[in-house]
Amino acid sequence: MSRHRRAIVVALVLMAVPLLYAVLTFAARPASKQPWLEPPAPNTTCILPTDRMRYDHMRYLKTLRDQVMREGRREQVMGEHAQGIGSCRNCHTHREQFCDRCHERSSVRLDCFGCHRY
Amino acid sequence: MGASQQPAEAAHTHERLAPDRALLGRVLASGGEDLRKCMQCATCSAVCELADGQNPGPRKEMLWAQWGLRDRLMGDPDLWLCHQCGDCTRRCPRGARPGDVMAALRRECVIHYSTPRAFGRWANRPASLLWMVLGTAALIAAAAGVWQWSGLAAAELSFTGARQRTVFPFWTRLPHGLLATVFALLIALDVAVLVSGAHRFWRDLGASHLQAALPKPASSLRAAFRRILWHDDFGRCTSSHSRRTPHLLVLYGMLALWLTSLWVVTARWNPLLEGLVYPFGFWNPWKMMANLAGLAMSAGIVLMVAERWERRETAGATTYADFALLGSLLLIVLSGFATELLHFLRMEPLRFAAYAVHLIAIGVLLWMLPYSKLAHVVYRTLALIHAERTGRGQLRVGEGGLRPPQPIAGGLGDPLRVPGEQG
Repeated sequence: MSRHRRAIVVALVLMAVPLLYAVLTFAARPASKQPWLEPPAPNTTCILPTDRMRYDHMRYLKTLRDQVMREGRREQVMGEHAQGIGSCRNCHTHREQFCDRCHERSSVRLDCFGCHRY
Repeated sequence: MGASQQPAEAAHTHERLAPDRALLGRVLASGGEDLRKCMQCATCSAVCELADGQNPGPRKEMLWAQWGLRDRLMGDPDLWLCHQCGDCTRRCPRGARPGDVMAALRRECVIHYSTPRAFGRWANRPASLLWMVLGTAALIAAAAGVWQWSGLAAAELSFTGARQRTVFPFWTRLPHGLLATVFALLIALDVAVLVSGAHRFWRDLGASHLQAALPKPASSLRAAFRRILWHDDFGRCTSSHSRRTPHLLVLYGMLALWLTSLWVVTARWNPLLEGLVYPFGFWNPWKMMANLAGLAMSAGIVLMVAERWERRETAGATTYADFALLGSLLLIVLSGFATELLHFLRMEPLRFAAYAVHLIAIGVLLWMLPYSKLAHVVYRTLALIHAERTGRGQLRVGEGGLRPPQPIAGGLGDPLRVPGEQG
């Protein structure tokens, strides 16, 4: 094989590298976007359907915050039928296997749990 | 000459010639001014490494050009099998410069098969350059106005996100969707002109050189593809075989840059990609390939210019067509590199200027592409396929030495038979 032909083969192989890289990074991507989550405790019902909860849980928690901090109403976070952030763990036992999995996957950094025990 | 070709020859003897006097003037005016010195000694045919045994050139093209036989010249595949190595020009005892005449005829051929032929002729005049620059700038400016007015620019901005605005301030005025649309329209025009030219060129090739198809079409396509892939024909030239390296650098550099552009433009619909693709990081494989390709292209173009500068005897006359293509390609690559560098340095007004030069140079290249030397991509490829399909170039000094033609039907033996070689 002549010098020119060798150079052409090398150039063609190099040209295939970016495409190969794209295919490999695509193939190496995790198959599912939703991480595995610990199932809730049996025979329990959440305060909202799963879809609503998935998208609106932060909005709900903010509503509670406004009630407690600005209006001084604590009926929803205290007592036997409390529906505050502390009562989530009645059904979702381990924060690491429920909350953190999605938060880590989507690079959401929270500082709620520095103060609120979970 | 085989018995099967007798009727074709008889037909030629009764042909009524229709000279085109304007053709002679055009060849004389565009680099072939020494054409009239030719005395038909056939030294050029003897030294040409690519000359076909049955249809040796460039002597016949010199004669046809002197007579102004447009129909024969335009459908002549040998015009496009020539790689302008300069062997004939160097050895010509009269200084008729057959290589330059062949180049002038190829230019004429490109114009002949271009669709608005008047536009093709105009695009090969230096005065057209200014209008193409102004026209491209006006086209992009008008498109930018339309994009702002119709809300397409805002739609693309909200689609791609705010980060772009800080990275590319001109993004708000010239979003990629606009550039892709404008350039895709120009490319579609180029393709339409080239396809229609290729169609008529192929028809004329068949009419003027009808011979029995030797190999099957698929294998002739493969053989032509191999000749383009390896560029072996360039290596056969003895005067300037060094031209192979620059042409390879430019060809494969351009190919890599086209692939990168295609990847970026189609990224939005690419299932392999997700989210924001552009701008690439410096170490992204596509970016690295494009940078290497740009370097290869500029090196190749500089080598081509140096060849023309240093070896004027064999490199051929440099006309506006050569200058326009080499100049626009070099300008595109250099202004691309300048944009990249100034972008990394965040040098605000300068990088817009470099980017504007880059975009307008690309537009100018696309305007003149089907009328420029770059059209050889189509015409030479067709001529190569035709040559492989008709067995043209069988008697050629190549890897295997002289290959003998078919023995004459009467059994005279073969004067060209090389001893020891199997017929």
